Amino acid sequence: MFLKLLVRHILLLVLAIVLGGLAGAALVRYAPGFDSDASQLDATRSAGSFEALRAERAGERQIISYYAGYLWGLGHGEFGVSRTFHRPVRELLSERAGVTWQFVSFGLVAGCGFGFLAAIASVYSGILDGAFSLLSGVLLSIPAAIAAIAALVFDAPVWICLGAVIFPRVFRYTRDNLAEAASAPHVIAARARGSGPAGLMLRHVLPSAMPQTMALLGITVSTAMAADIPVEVMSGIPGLGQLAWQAASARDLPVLVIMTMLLGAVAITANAIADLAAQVWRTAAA
Amino acid sequence: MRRAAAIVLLLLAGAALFADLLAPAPFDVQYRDFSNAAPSRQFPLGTDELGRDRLSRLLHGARISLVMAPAAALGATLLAALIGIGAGLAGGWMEKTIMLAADLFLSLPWMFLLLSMRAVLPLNTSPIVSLAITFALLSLLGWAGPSRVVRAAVKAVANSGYMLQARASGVGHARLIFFHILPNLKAVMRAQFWISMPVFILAEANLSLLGLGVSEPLPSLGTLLRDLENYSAIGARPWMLAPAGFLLAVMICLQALLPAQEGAR
Repeated sequence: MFLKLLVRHILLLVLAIVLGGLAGAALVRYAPGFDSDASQLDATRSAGSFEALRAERAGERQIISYYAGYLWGLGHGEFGVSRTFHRPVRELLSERAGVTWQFVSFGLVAGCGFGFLAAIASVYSGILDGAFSLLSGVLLSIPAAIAAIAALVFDAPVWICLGAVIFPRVFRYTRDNLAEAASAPHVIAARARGSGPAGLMLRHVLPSAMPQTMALLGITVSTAMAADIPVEVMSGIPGLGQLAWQAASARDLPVLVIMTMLLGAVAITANAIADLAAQVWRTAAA
Repeated sequence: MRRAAAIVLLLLAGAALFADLLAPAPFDVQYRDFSNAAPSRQFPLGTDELGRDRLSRLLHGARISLVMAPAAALGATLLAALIGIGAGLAGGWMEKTIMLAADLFLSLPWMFLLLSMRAVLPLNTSPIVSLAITFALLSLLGWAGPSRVVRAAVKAVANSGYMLQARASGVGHARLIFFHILPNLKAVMRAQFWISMPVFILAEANLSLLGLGVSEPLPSLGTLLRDLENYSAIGARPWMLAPAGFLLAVMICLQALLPAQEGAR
């Protein structure tokens, strides 16, 4: 079972990288205006320069051969050069990955941690459940970009926005899981035999609800990365989210292809780790 | 709670639907002598920097978002139903391939996918075309999640006893789909429609805030929120927050109308 799950995730990862990159490249190639850019209006360039630019673009016109060459280069550590920034894509990624990594991990820890603790508190107290449900309802209703603006207005750290996007999802799902686990016959039996609330939660409810909660954590990575794009753009954070937006807006093929691969790979890897960890937990519990 | 949410939502949607009657001015007329005006009898919510009446723009923008988001949700649900039913009934490698495609689709962050797709489509289009493109894209990209749910429901129906009997009685494929499977998918599809709607309203808002949504002068809840980019002015002109308040009210009412588990999903 574990091996089958592992093979499925690896297959999905490879497919996401290869097909995602190809889809990204094809989208840009067939976009209107692919063949033209601002440099064609530069009167200071010579006819030779225009010819060189045309030749460069001609190489990208045959999408399959371009992509095959791109993958070959990728295999040798060559990520290409950004057309917008006129810099190697590898350099851009290494500069910005750290910023995004820190930003997303702070948001994830805050959102998941608070969501998890709030869900546990909600099982014990109806008032807290109402308060956290209301808060999660409000947070689910705010676009990530507006949350970023709110953070700037109140001079709060911007990673709070990512936490605010993740919290309601973790809270609601975990609370429902815990409530379901708390109503299981073995938990009711333990309560009838005099187990205290803390003992019940630690020994019976949490172990039952953990696999589903762990699987959810994988999905939150994808949610955080999706929210990261508008948040980084609105708050001017020079991370991968902003780079993705700039690449998409400027139809920067080399950056867009690698960003599609990277984001797909991170999301699938996070899902795979969460899924496999949940499977290990289930096997150990059985 | 649900009844109160339904009443508030009806009032807001009613105000938006009757924007032509309720709006004090056309949404695109610029009163240049009154740019950034404070609320007054003539302009109940003040004017924007081009002198356009904020209330009129809010009502018309809300109408666009509240009509187009359900339309996009309906499109996405129908597409998901088509794919889900196809996968569920086909089975074998076809089902596996479709579900793998859905998994791949779901693995990419939704906002990045939306952004990339929107950016490669023409950007210098008329406002109406940009509106159609934005919501058509939401409709096209929203199939993956619901299609998995529909496919699971189709599998459950297809393996039921009455379906077996219908098949054994020689009922044809079309009749099976239209008279036995589709009626049993109504509840699932209705739930997917209601789940997609708030997601699409938020996605349009995010996309428009990034400058890739509905284009000016056509208002939508997303384009109206772009005013907030000038956040240093909010303190002096708090009525700029009206579109955000309207969006929040609509979204909270929609959340309240969804069953708890669907909201979480």
